[in-house]
Formats: sequence, structure tokens, C-alpha cells
Amino acid sequence: MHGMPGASPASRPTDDDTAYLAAIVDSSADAILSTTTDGAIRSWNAACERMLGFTAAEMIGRSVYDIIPPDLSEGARAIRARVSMGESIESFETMRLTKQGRPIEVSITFSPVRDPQGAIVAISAIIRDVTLTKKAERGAAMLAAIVASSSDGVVSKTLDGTITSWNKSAERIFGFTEDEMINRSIRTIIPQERQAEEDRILATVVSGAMIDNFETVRLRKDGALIDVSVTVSPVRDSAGRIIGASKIVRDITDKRQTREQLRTLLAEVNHRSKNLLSLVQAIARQMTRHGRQLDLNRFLERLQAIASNQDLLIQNDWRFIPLGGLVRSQLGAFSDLIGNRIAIDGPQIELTPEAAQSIGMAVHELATNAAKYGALSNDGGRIAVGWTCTDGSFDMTWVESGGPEVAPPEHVGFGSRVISDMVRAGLDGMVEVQFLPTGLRWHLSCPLQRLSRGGHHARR
Amino acid sequence: MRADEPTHVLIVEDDPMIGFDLAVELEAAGFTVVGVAPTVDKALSLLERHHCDLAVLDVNLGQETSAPIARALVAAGVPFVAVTGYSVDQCPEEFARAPLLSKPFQTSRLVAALRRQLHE
Repeated sequence: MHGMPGASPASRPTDDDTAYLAAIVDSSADAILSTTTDGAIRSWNAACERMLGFTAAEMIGRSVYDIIPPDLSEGARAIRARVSMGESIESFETMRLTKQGRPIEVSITFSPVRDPQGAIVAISAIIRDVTLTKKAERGAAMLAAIVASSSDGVVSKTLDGTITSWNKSAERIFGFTEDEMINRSIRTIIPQERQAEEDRILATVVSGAMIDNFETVRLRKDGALIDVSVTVSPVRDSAGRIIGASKIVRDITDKRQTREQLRTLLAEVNHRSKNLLSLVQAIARQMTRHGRQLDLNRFLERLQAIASNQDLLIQNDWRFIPLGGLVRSQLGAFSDLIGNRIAIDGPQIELTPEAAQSIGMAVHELATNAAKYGALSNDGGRIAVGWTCTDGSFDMTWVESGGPEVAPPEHVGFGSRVISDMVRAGLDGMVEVQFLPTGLRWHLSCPLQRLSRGGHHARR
Repeated sequence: MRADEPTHVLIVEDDPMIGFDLAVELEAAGFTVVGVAPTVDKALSLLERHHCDLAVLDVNLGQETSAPIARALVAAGVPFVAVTGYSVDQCPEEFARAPLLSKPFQTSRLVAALRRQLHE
């Protein structure tokens, strides 16, 4: 029979010994085969059959290269040459082919087999199927890579809070390196006033429960506090005992800031919408003073005038309204007359929203009045709207000419009070309204700083 | 203050139309309006120059809140009523003890709140 690795070349085995050894080989859980030095298969045990699918009868006498993938045969030849020279090679990782032609991952230990004279007559190979081990290793490596490259901090700790792993993102979030944190207490990153949280977290983990997206504050190495969301799960050993905890930490500083901005914005929307309702209420109230009926059309026109101011404000990120744009927008109904019968002239000024409301409403009232009784009520009247800024003071005029002869109105209505009293109070200014025979002349004078913040447009 | 003397009210409101409306309405209700101040500076200077018995404060003045005015009024012993478009919990603490009217409101409610302040 075949010589076995480990069999002493000095004493010749008896037939009983040989049969005994053959039985051991045949019942071995490892696949064991032997070949001649040039690769003809001489023995093939039961485990070989289980692993590779070929029976001993099929394989004895065939070339061992029949179970070696063609692209690996070169390397196999080199190995076998070394073994033929007397070298043993342990746990060589390679591939072998099953009867179905499917490659499997194996680890092979090659040994030379010597005859009683010590001459190498054969090569034995013990083959282990390592497919599952390899798969597990790859799985573990993959998991390790996922943890390492996760944008979340991934940390593990024992049940007394000692840190056992600390990934790159934990390093980025907290500023402590892996070396600094391994074997240190997780309490290092918990602010003093929140230390009790860790007691609660550990108690929860010990009970087998997990903590999902707990939002809290943690401490960076540089002493800064950061907003984090923490998920903590118990870690069990193979027997199911809880031996520690894994902790996933997400930096939610941005999220929290966004949430706070949103809350501020909603408060602003609340405030502004109620202010707008108050404004609508104020207009309705002032239009119906002294028991006057509400002129619904005029009321709706005024609401439209305010709405168009809002559009201009939004276009400029809620910071200011350009005066030129405001005047053009309030004269929207007469836009075809701008440039011929209506002249607009003045430097660019960025009005505060409040100033824009005063001036916008005034221009709206002046335009409505002009269309009804003034320069826009005939075919030839003209209007010059102009403004100047000199030495911190602002002057704006609306001068009508060529319209029907005008006379002061008999009673002071809402429109009249808007262009005078409201503008005067709102802008801390002086307003002059003259009903000249040639047409109406309106003049506003106020400190420039009352209506513009100049270059500084802080958000409200 | 004697009963036959007019009650002087300061209005602090940054919206020109609402401020104008409040002034008209309070005058109609028999108050004498000291002025409509759209900013903290303007309100404080009006307080320095004029006698005030009462004030109406819009909590939010666009770029600022009227909290400094509230502090000045408390120091001077002048009662005031706060009005706001914010919800109550969004108001600075200076307004915690003042009657607060949520915008929009009926003038009659403001007048009643002011009168109550005066007689407390």
C-alpha cells in the first residue's frame, strides 16, 4: 500500500500496520490523497469523495491536474516540484475543482512520501475545504470595512463603560483618536451634568433593550459640546449573554440648527401673518370711520397694493424693497404711460419693509387719485415722480400737470390721510400736499435713515 | 392725575398703517396720543420729552423688540399693554406681567385693557 507521511522509513510496517493506517486515512474527516511525484493519483479517501464528488475508483490512476483549475496548474507544478525535492508545505491556500467543475476554496498541506530507503516516491496532500471559513472572514472584513468607513461614529464598550472599539468617524466627531479612547471610559465624552444618562443607558443595555436615536449632547476633546443622536444596542456573545454595547453616534448639529431655523421662521410667519391681518383690519377700520360704507373695490385695490409690496420684499430675500421698483409696481396699472406721461427719476434706495409700506401705500393713493381726478384722468396730463438724497435727508415729490384744474377735496378721506398723516408719522417726516391749479403736488421730506438701512441689510 | 385731565398714551408700533390706525382709534376713545414710535430710540426719546400715563407696545419692531421700552416703563411706573403677532410663549420676559393682546384685535379690547391698567 501507500506510504504515509509520518511513517518511519526505518522500520518496515507489517501488513496489519498498513491496513490499520489505511483505515485511519479512509475515516479521516480531512480529504487525503496521494500521487506519484509526476502527479498520478494513487489514493483517494472517502472525505475526498465527499468534498470533490469523484469516487476513488474514478480517480485512482488519473492525473491530479484534473482537479486543479487550469489557470492554477502552473503554480501547482512548482509546488509539487518543491515537495518532490523533500519540502513540506503547510496550509497552502488554493482552489480545486469538484466533479461538477465548481471551484472550491481549499487549504492543502503537502508532504513528500519516502520509501524505506528514504527516496521520495510520492506526494501526500491533506485538503481542507475553507469555503465557509473564507466566507466568514470576508463577511467579517466587510463588516469591519463598513464600520470603519461609516459616516456615523461606531463605538463598542463593555458593560462597565470601557471602550473596546472606536472607528474613524468617532474620531472625527469627538476629536479623540482610537489610541486615546481604547480602554478608556465612555464617560470621557459625557458632559458632567449628563453623567446620569450613562447609568440609564447601561441599565437599559443590561436589560437587553436598545436605545434608539436618543438625542443628547456630548463633549468633544476640545471641550466643545455637540448635538448627537445615539443608538445603543446590547452586544451578546455566542451563548447569548450580554457582554457589552455597541453605540452609533450621529452628529446632528446641522439638523438641530436647521430645526431651530425652521422654528424661528415659523414664528416669523406667525408674526407676519397676524401683522398683515392687523393691517387689513386697520385699513377696513379707517375706511369705514364715521359710519361710512366700505367701498369694497377700493378696499380690494388697497389690499392688492400691499400684496405687490410683499412680492418685491420676497424678491429681495425679505431684506429691503428698491424704491424704483416700488414706484413702478404701484403704478402697474399705468405701466404703458411710464416713460412718456409718467416720468420716474431718482437714485436707487433700498427701503426697509416698513418705509416701503408707507411710501407704497402713498404712491398707490396718489395714482388712484390721479386716475380719478388728476393728471391721469384726461389724455394729456403728466406726472413727475422724483426723489433725491442729500446729506442724510430724503426728499420725494409727485407733481401732476396738464390734468383738469384741481381744487382741494371737500372732505379728508382715507386716501388723503394715508398720503399725509400716515406717511408723516411712519417716516418721522414732513408732508406737504398742495392742490395747485396746474395739478396736485405732493412733497415728502424725512431723514434718510428712517427709510433705509443703507448698505447694511440685516435679516429680520 | 385728575379725572378731568386727558390720559396721555404712547404708541409703539413699527407698521405705519397699524400705528396710524391705533392713534386714530385711541384719540377717538378719548386718549391723547403722545406719539407713534416705530423704534426703541424714538420711543425712549418720546418718553423723555413727554408725560405719559400709559403705553401700547408692539412686542416686535422688525429689527428689535420693544423690551428696552418695557423696562423703561416699568422703571418709570408707567403701565402698558403689549400687543403681538407672536404667540405668548415667544415674548421676551419683560412682557410676562403685562396684559397681552394678540393681533389682530378689536380696538374696544385695547381700550378696555388700557383703562384697566390705569385704574389698577
